Amino acid sequence: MDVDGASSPPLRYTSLPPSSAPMATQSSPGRSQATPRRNRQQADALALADDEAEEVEQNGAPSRRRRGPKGQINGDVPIVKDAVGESVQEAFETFLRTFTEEIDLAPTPASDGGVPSAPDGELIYIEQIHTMREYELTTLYVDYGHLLQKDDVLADAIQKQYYRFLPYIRRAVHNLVAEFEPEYLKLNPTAAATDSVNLQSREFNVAFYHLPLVSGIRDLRTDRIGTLMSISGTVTRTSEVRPELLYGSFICEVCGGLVNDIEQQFKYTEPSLCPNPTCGNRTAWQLQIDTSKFTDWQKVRIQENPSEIPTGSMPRSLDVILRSEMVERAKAGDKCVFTGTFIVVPDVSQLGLPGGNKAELQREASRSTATGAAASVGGAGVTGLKSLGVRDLAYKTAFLACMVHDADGRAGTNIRGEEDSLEDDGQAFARSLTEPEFEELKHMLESDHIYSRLVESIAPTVYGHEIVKKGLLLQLMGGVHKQTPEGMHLRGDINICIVGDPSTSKSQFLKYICSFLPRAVYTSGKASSAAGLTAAVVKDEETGDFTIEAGALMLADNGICAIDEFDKMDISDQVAIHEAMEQQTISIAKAGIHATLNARTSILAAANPIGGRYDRKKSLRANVAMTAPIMSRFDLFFVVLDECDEKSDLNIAKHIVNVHRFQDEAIHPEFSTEALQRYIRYARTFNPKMTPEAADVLVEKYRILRQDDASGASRNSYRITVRQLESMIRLSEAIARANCTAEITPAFVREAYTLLRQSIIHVEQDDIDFDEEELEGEREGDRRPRASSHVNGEDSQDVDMSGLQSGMDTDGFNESGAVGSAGQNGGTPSAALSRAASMAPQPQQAQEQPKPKRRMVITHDKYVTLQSLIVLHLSQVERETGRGMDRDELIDWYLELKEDEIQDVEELEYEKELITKMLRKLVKDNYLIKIRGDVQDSLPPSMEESSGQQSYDSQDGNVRVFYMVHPSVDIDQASSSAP
Amino acid sequence: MTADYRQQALENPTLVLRQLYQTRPSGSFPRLVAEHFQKLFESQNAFQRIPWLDVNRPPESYEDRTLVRFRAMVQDTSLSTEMYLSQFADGGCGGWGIYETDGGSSSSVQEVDYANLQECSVLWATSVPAESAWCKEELNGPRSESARTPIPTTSGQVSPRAHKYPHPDTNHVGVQVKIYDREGIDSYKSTDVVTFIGILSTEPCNLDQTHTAADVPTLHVLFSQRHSPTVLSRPFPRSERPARQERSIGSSDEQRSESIADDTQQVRDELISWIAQEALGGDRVAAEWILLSCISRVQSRHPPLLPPSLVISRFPPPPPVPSTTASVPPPIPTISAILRLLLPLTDTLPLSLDTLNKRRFVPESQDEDLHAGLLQLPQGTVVLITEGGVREGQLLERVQDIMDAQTLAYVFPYSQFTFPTDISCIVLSEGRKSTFFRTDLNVPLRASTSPADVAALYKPADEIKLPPAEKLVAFRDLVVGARSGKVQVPEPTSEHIQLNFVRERQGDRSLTADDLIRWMTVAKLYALSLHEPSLSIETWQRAKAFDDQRRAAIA
Repeated sequence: MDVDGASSPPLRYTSLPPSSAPMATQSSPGRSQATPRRNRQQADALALADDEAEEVEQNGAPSRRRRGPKGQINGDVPIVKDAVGESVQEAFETFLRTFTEEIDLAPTPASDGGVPSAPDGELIYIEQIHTMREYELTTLYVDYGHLLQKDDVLADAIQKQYYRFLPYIRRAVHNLVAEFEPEYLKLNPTAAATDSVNLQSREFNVAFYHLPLVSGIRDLRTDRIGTLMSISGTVTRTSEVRPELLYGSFICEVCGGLVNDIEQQFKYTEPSLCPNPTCGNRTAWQLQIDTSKFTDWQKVRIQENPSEIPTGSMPRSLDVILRSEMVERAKAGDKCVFTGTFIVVPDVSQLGLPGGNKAELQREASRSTATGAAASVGGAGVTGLKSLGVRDLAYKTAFLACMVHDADGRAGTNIRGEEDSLEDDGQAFARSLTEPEFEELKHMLESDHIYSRLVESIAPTVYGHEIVKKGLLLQLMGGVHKQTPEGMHLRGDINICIVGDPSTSKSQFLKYICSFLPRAVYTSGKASSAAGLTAAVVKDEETGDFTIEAGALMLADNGICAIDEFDKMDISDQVAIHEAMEQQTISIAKAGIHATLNARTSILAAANPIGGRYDRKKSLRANVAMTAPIMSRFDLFFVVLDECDEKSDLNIAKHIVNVHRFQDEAIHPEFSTEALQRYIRYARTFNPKMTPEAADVLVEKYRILRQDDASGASRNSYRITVRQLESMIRLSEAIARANCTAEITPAFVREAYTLLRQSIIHVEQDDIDFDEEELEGEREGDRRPRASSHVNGEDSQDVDMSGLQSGMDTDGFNESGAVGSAGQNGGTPSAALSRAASMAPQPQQAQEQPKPKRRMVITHDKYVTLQSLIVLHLSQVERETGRGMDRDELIDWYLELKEDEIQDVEELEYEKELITKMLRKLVKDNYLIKIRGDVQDSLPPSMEESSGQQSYDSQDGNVRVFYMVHPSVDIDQASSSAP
Repeated sequence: MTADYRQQALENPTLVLRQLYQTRPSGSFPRLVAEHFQKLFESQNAFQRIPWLDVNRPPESYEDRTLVRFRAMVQDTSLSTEMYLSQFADGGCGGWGIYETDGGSSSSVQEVDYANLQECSVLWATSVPAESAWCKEELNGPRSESARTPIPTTSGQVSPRAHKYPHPDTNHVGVQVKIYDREGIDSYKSTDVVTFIGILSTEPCNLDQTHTAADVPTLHVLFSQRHSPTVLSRPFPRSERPARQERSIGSSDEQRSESIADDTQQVRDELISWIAQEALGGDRVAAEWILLSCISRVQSRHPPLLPPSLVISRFPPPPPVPSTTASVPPPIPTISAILRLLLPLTDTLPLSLDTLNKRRFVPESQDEDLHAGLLQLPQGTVVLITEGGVREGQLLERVQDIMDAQTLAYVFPYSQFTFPTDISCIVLSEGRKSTFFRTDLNVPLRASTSPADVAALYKPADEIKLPPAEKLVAFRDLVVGARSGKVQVPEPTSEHIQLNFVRERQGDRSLTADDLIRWMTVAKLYALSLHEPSLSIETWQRAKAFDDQRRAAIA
């Protein structure tokens, strides 16, 4: 203690930690006994008015006191304790003095504190001290991450025994201010010079932030008392800001003596005894307001965040005490992170009375307890009274916060860049797991094909529909939220719409998501007004003020909002959520309230088709009562149809019966819901970035989509715009997250493209891959990604329909494409992707520069163009000659046509092969008839011939082959779609 | 563990607690207390000697620090935990409402050893809403021999925290419960039915933080017992009543089980007839559906196997009341009283403009005090809803949520939290279908609409012709037993069902998976009502025919 007094400036900061609670948990050997606060207050009372004297007195007094009543062997205990605190102060001071952003600094500084090692980088905390003066701030903000990085021993000491070291930490700041901005130390330096009575010194605070782990209210246990920690919660109530008495000056009403600097903590404290040896006054005191020291004080009530509450439990609440510059930082409804320490305070009811007018009552209380009459006293003072020793009700927990910030602002204020924080998040999350949970997660991370296996574990009660499940998984993963330099937020949430016949388990998907994710809101479009979904301005019954009432979208902030019967919403309501879906905000301008509220939610919508059943003869757009702007805001559309087919019926029946028979055992997803939740939480800590190759693929894919759209040959549900590009990025990011990597590879982009295409394909045609056509028989599973993702025949049917509509009969192709695909999805992503990889960087159009191993792939548009070209030409020839055209002739004609586009021999070969394959396909698709030998000889029944054509085709050698237009082809129609 | 010691524990639990503390081994003392007292009152007989709290024996009628048991519904678990001194300076036992009494200690509050501070959880519990009288009687046990006469409470008296009971204007007991044994503390969920055994005292209410805390009855829990959703336990499948056992003692097992099955069939028939006769104007079909609905419950949440909601449509409105007695609330259908006689937990929710406007349906947290809603009911409750002329709105959505998902969203500041429920709903509706609710099942009532017959549907409970006592017991056994039963679906039956479905779907494309789910649910309930532990093909066919018949009726 003596050391303490001597080495530090003559300040009252040397006083012991002002609360007794944390002492109880201190484990250091020197602190075997808690130091209840009152001891010190008594000491304070004894202290003389003189600062210096008090200092000595105060340091000496508690130990003396403590020794007395407890009969404790004290010895050199306080010195041991002091030394630790002292060294913490020194180390912290050195840290502040020397810390720069450079990581490769000198290691833990030696105890020769005063000499900074003069590093080159900016001394950010010294800078901050200068800034403090400039802006008249009294709080020094310290990034705990810096502390960890620089001196982990110190960081650990502060974290474990924060409350114990708090005075030392503050003193360290005080010392630095004294060194760098000495005038700032006193409130009114000029006045102080003339009038030493008015000499008031400033209180400095230290606010730690960016602690690696943020706990929930539920995790607070008695063993956490006194440690530095962060908790998150939603603010439900805030008290007004009041002055809190920090140090009181009292005048003894008996002898008129002045007692200064009586430290106050959590309740009003008077000196217990007049320092005047002849006085002996214990009760008659008067507070001197002008010389007492006050600080701002606010109590906020926080409630657990919905995501942190175990199912079926109610949210817990906690009082948080905010002081000085932290007041008014948290508003009711905010989700905030508070850094500080968990404390036990004598009585919460007194928290509401920071200093001031309750002295009388208190005194009454203590008197009456002293006479043992406590039980008889009733009324307002009862609880306070009881706290004085008769009952043990009087201990409440609270959180003393030194820092408040917005829960979502964490990433934004992180100056160390995203990579670091991502590392931290992931590791912090991993730390929060139990050993078996961690093992399981690790196992999941290391296993193969995790993506497809995750998909299988999504919504296990629903039979089939893998493609929808894939979408749901990606929605749960989400893309990365981004912010442009201008401060615009780009949404990372993925919106999904499921369209389908009644009773095709659409609602089950929605319910699954709601049960899976804590922060999910289930609502029905039918019952929701615009206000019910977004927000409404309502008049508060009590105060008469207008306040905002949160709708479903706001309630699902940072979660998923599942909207059933989306199509049943009024059009005006649909418009109301335009903003929510893209900008993720809700703007209100009603009743004088102008507000923009966050609605950072993914939307999972389910809609019934117009007329109850999905009409395959129409496009998706025509089937759903939704406006184009809304449709374009969905990243993915899924169509689920009710198929009548014996096999799937039996499977469904089996599934349902089994669910009833065995309940949980009937469906045994590989990963339990909990494991899945943990995996997703971990995966979400990744912020994947594009690799350059992936970016190239992305650009190319977008170009393809956009070109298809521009050509107009395919009838999309909506125009392809930048929105779809963003969708593709989001989906890629989500896929990367699902694979738990921070890099987006081209394979992920291709998978995203595939998914996106399926969402638009219901109206779009596929590229024609001739190679694939031929190989189809041999390797069914190894198919083009697009086709392979048609899980159930339903989707392919849908494609067919749109095919019909655009006037081309490509049924054969599409159907055959879909048949082999069932069940292949997900299981063969690598195969599909590898192929996609090989084809993607290459030009799809014939006129672009060729590569040695060029694949026979043309876009559907080109296919259509060629098709009508050939058909028209053939029919013309037919009309003129009355007979078909020789194959070689036809090829020659085509090559001539293309002559000016062909630059070298290689290209010529390519074009030749292309037209050959094109012809073969046209035959297969019943556009042309192929005739061997003379046409007049054999005019075979077209169907049989053409269906068996492929096998002949592969062997045909020298036989002359003629082509004719298939009689079923309507030439006029075909030509109409030609460009 | 002598009777004397037990008596002492009954008379002065505090002393026993203190003694126990002095002799405590290392380890968690609260845990030890729970085990010790649990063992002490293990036997049914000893347990029933503990006096109980209920409306007739409110907390005020007991002396301070009496040992009582309180069968309660956990209403609010959001109260903050509390710190207490587990050991006083003199080494005495703290907690359970024991405080230092010596006057000298008052000045030494500063000497508190913070290491001895421990946490205890605080809950709010109320009498079990929706509990029927017979269930109450059975669980309370025989009237205790203690001389204390129940203090008649004035019916108008309303507890100060009445808003924490679903029916705030009816008599009930609401108690602050403090639980010191923190093990498994999170398992106390809202609407759980638990019997708390502990020391009754009065302490300031924890809920009030803004105002001066009023004293409320507080139960310091020594140990607790949980109840199953049926509250009472009955055997499933039905075994014979003891009285009959003698008769069939010589018969072989097979014969016996056959006779039981026959007997069950017979009891079931009688039960259906009774319900039909007394409350449904003789409509046995509707009565049978009500029976099935009564025994339905949540079987599993993942995958969702939820109780089907039932609407009895075309239920005639009550006969017009003479205008002079306009203030009299509309009569409640007699079926409500019938359900009350049969089920341990049942509640009637008469929807009228008045209830909709004035009552809170959903629990809502205001100033961190969770106000109860009409729908905060224990798991396993059967709710009878009667529709009045009311419009669609927010509140009805909640009921619909219960029907669809068996969840109820409590309202908290800035958010809603969904809690699982297990409430079977029976709706009585005038129209062809329920005006407000989408129900899984719709059964039109086919009863005479003559005024006399309609009046009979609304006759007061005391006009019900009660069956003989043992018959009523048999009825209850059947219903409660079936509620707790579980039906297996053997392989042959499931094969049959699957093929059946595929075949039917070939013929009728409008059949969907939903139909199959409904058939499965109905068939399982049907088997339960017959007390068959496994679903036979025959029962499946009967159940399906039964459902087809219903569909034909509404077509």
